[in-house]
Amino acid sequence: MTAENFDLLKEKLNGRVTDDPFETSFYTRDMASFPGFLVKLMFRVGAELAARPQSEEDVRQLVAYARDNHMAITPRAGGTSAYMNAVPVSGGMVMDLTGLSGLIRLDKERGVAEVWCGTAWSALEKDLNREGFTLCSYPSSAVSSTVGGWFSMEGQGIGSMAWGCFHDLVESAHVILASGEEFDADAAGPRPLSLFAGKEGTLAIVTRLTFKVVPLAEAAYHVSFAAPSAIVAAKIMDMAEKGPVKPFNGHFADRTCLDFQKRMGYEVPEVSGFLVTLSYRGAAADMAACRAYAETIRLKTGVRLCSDETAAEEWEERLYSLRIKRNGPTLLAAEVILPMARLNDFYGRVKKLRQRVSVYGHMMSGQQANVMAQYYADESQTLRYLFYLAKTKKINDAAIACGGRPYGTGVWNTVYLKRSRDPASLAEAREAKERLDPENRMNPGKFYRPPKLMPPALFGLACFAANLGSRVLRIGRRR
Amino acid sequence: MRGKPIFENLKKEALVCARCGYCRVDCPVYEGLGWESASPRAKMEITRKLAFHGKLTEKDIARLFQCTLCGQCRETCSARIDTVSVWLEMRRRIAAGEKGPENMRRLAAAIDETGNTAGDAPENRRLWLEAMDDEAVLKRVGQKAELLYFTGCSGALYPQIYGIPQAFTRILTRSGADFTVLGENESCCGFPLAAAGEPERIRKQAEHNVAAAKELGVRTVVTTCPSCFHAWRDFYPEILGGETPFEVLHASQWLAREIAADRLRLGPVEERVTYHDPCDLGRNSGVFEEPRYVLNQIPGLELVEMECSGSDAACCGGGGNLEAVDPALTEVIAEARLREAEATAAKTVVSGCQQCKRTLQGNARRKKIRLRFADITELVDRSMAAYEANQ
Ligand SMILES: Cc1cc2nc3c(=O)[nH]c(=O)nc-3n(C[C@H](O)[C@H](O)[C@H](O)COP(=O)(O)OP(=O)(O)OC[C@H]3O[C@@H](n4cnc5c(N)ncnc54)[C@H](O)[C@@H]3O)c2cc1C
Ligand code: SF4
Ligand code: SF4
Repeated sequence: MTAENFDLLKEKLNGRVTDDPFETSFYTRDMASFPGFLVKLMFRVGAELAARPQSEEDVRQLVAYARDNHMAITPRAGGTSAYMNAVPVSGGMVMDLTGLSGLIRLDKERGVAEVWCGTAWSALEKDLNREGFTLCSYPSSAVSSTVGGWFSMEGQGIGSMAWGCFHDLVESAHVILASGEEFDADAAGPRPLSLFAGKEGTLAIVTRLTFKVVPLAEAAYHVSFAAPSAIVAAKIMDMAEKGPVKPFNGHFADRTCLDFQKRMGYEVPEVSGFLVTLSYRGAAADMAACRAYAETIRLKTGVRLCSDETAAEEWEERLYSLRIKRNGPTLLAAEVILPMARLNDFYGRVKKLRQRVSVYGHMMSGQQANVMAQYYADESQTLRYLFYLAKTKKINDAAIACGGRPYGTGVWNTVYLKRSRDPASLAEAREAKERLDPENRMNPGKFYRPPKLMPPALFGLACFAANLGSRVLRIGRRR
Repeated sequence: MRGKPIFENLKKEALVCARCGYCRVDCPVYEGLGWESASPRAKMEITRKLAFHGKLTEKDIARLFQCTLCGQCRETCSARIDTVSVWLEMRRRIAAGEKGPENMRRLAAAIDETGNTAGDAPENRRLWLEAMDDEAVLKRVGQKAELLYFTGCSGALYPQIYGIPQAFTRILTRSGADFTVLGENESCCGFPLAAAGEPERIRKQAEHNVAAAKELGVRTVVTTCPSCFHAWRDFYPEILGGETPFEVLHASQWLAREIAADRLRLGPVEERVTYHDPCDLGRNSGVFEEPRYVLNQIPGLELVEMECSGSDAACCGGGGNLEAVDPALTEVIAEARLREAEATAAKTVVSGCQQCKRTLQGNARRKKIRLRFADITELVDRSMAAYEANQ
């Protein structure tokens, strides 16, 4: 890159692009905590440029600049992902897309909204509510995560029980390829929407999305059950799914998850197994039917209903799962997709970890759940922390053994690719990557292959050794 | 969200931070500057640097002081970190190493030397009283009384603010309250010292003010400044090691109490107004209801809320001594709040803070935004005058 054309770019973007290492350094981390020395050893973390486009035209200018200078582009939005998905690992430009924000258009008749990619979900919900509309679904990080971020990830979260994956609610997306070519991707065509959904920014920058929204519901009803076991929790979800009104959302938390909250001083209900919560929304008349059906579930499963306050709190706190973090102070997690029929099996395996692991899950469409298994550690004790980190492999292995898989890929979960993705779809994704981004400039180093320095066999061996060490040294027993 | 915000120490909070960015979305500084480095999430990253590596660059320090201490980030923090305590402790550590911004150091030194933020002679604290041209009021200075009206530096020393203490004094007089003011014997409450990273220096101010109030047999301290209110109510007992023997009220609370007891006579003020919650009164001290109650009791007055109000209210840009280190940023933040006020179609923005009024009014003038500004005491004063005129 020459000084003149960089100055020109700066001018075009009104100063919203910089090569100041101080500024770029703040775009090099995400939610996960990995020891710095390990990350430095394996990757070239960092970007030469950080840019904050505020319009599609800005994005065009930046993409053209990157193309002309053979530069990698790492799209980044809320930065709430955890597998280095939005962390630049091959230098180049990090593009902070949160400036492309806001509701562009709401078509009330068709029930669709066109939204800029960097819009945070909670802000969008506020805007829609003002117009008498609401979101179908959103991630439980809705306060800061964005529309484009969730489309680029797996798109399962709150509301998925009723509405399925967010990808399927999207009608069209405007995308800009690394070459600078841009188009509206929709269901049909040679480069359909499905090609870009969940690809973690490795194919294109999505600048805006048009997706389904619905009128605000008249009423809501939340109900919590005290299920004695994972088997009963799964049974409740199965019944709920097949009931007269599908819940908008279903989630569950095990006893350990509640204990972690209790340690933080929160009041929690007495539950021996799982706290299962169903949230309904719809016409006021339907809520009576939901209430009656909750009673049917209770009678058929023989479980106890928790208080209305518990159910309401479970709903109100749905975006604040991190409130238990202080006990760690590090909260390590493995997030997996799991068939509900195998929840009990998975739970049994996780409980053998020789450390307390909390299990928390959101229902997805059908009979699957998006499950978060979390445990405490302390990253300030670097050596011990490596042993703790290795335990996530055991959780991911448990999910794979139960017919599930890790949720999200980024860098770290590429080691599970071969075991967790079907070969045909992986080959198809790789082919699309080669076709649409032949120079491998869009978010390189992610999603398709494990890093060279982290082949799955070596990773497996290292984790095996660390987990053996954990067992001998009793690491995590007291947590 | 359930649970109280917690602050243990810098190391712990830096580790507790999950880097989720919830704190980022409503931060006025981040909104104004746009770079991730200006977000509270980045401030936590800078905290981690100091806590674990003990070293900060000039740019790190500048970002830490670019903060209005408005408390929005504490409100939204998903890990329940008391972020404002983190920012204050960071400022303290930086100031201790004499690395803080020059203007902050000057401000702290001025307070220490002269007892006020302007570096003025103490006698100047009488000027607003003298300008009232009311002998009876002047006689109250330093008299023994039940109630002390603690004016604060802004009200007492900045002529464009005189209207607020003068209005409140008229209300007190009309209500028949047994009140006093300290005049030249009043010293800065010390609140700006915490923002400057020199909280240890507050003790001197606290001791002086508390002793002066005790000497006059005061039972209730009322302030028109939310920062003074916060200092008297929350800092002084902590600094002086125990409860202080006073009830401490913000003027809006005192007004609400008097109105509820039917001791103030209010006449019509036909005006559409919107209320701006000062950060130090609302989010940082928990006073949201009383100012609204007071405004709703004024006949003819229509109160409309801005899009962000109550615990969500956006900052005016004037807190945290920000103006001393980055006046341009204060302007950007103030303008955003002014646009919100404008959208309500209210004629007047009412607040309960002289600093908010000064910041908003000054920026509206510069940006040619056609809004009027009043303190809650000024509106009540007008309402009482209207009542009297109708008699
Ligand atoms: C408390 C908490 C709860 C969570 N709950 C959920 C949940 O319920 N469901 C869930 O799926 N995840 C969840 N997550 C993970 C994460 O929040 C989501 O995946 C979220 O959608 C990421 O969005 P973001 O805006 O933060 O994107 P980022 O993290 O910034 O980016 C994510 C990926 O998308 C790419 N990207 C971002 N924007 C664009 C764009 N416009 N164009 C192209 N590529 C782009 C990035 O390159 C990156 O690969 C949670 C995280 C937290 C902290
Ligand atoms: S206190 Fe206010 S200005 Fe300071 S970081 Fe938090 S939200 Fe931003
Ligand atoms: S909201 Fe709290 S935990 Fe999240 S990044 Fe901000 S300070 Fe850290």
